[in-house]
Amino acid sequence: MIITILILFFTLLFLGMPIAFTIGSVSLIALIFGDISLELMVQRMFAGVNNFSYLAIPLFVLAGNIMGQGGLTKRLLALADALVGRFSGGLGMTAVVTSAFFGAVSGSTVATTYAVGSVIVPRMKEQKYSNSFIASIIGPAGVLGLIIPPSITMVILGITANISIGKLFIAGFLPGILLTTVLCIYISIMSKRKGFGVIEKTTFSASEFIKICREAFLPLMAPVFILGGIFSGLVTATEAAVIAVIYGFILSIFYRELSLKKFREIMVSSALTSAIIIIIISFANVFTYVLTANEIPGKISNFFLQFASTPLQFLIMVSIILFILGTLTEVTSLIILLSPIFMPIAIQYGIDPIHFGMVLVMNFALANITPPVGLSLIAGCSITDKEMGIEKTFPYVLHIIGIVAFVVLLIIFIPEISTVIPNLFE
Amino acid sequence: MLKIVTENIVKLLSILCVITITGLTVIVFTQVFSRFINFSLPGTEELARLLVIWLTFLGSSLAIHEKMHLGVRYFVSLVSEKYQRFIDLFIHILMIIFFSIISVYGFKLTMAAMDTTSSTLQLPMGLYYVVIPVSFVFSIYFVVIDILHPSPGSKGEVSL
Repeated sequence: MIITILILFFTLLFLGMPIAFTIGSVSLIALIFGDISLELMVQRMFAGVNNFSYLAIPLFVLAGNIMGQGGLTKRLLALADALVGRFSGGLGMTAVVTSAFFGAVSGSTVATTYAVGSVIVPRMKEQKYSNSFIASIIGPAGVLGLIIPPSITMVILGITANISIGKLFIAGFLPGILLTTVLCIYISIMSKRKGFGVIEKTTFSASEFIKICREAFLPLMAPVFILGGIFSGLVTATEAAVIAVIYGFILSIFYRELSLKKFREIMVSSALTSAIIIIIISFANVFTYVLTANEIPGKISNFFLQFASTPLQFLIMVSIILFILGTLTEVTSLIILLSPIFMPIAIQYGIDPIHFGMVLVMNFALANITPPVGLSLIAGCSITDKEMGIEKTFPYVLHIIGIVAFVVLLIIFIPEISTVIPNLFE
Repeated sequence: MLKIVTENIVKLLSILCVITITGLTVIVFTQVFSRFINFSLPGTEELARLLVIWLTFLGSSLAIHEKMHLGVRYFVSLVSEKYQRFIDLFIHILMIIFFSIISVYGFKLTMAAMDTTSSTLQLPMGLYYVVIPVSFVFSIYFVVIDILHPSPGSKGEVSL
């Protein structure tokens, strides 16, 4: 049964059927063969969506999109430029640091890549960075949007794996800073060696620097409000999302960057982005029924218990599985389908749920940049050059994948990186 | 003629998307606000869930038209264009069959649920379910249109 399901699933997926409908039709076929009433299909689809927590998804998507187009990006970029622009590979580092700042106001990787990339890519080209290098860093820098809170991935993970979303948010801080730092070091070394970005280095007088900080103050207050609200326990993640929407809305009116028409477009595209995520959750709820009816989660659990005797071995096996699947499939569905199966097993191994959640998040970040199917990398290519294929990003993207994989290993081996800050809030 | 129909459906769905997402924002904002002034509005949570359900299914059908659904196009793009068209047709037909089954059973469920009412707002539960068959009928329409007039997609621009 499990083999038939897997073959059917990957055949339809690789023939280009959208992932949501692949999950749905495979479930439907399994129900038909299991001689189960098909009304159950619609009931499970409905039950999968009928949950108050899912409100957080459209609200965080909307908040991120408003912030991305409401004039916050260029102010954050100016600040990042003032901080790291003077070093070798400065503009490349600015791209990464801006993505990190932007990740702290937005919850999405591709939104981060597009928002930051559209401003910085033309300047990087002027400064003689090669297209292959630009695409290799601007796409992967976007995954900082997924690691640094708020993060829609963490919202979905929190819901499907039943972990506190607020705690996951806090846990993302250190790994995010860690990855930002390592990427900057790599860019600086590589730029020096290849002669990227040597034309001019940005320097600032003290008064200019103060002005830049003042300009970036309001955008940077967004994460303070969102995260401060959640950490202090004043508001839930969903309520924080609505505060982010309102704050982003007020800022973009204040900066006069959003027309009414533009705003309407943002609402429709946010609604669609949310819909395509939640519809996957909806069909996955039928799929979970099929898996459970065939006792597949138990078999997966036994498989791990048989081959991995320590928690560490388990984490590494999970990471290898996610790495392989991540090269071939799209990430959101991996979270939705696999995290509810993996989480109970992790708890059996005695792994801290927050630590495990963070290991999953880092693996999803990696899956976003591994070719051939890595949406952040594809976004990085398309924003650098419309015609650019992902194979053009070699060899730099391989270095970046190595770096992110190294950070994943650090997160696996040193649980404290994920847990030390959340524990402060206990 | 077909083009005008499509345009109107797209317009209708876009407006519903704007209404639902605005509604959600307003409801949650009201909730936060009312909690700070110690006043609770009954039924807001239920209304919010109704809106999320409508947003998901209606948005999903519009996303078919906008080619926003996440999928893996990489392997299909490796074969020649002639085969690509053949594969796309095959997948589209499968999707139409799949959507039809959901529409039929969704409609049955809606009819069965018209007599029961929701807990707080006392709305007929059919109002919650009806969006499923309606959305999948729209989805079938969009897939058929895509078979008749294939348009290049914008796949791969949406992700988390």
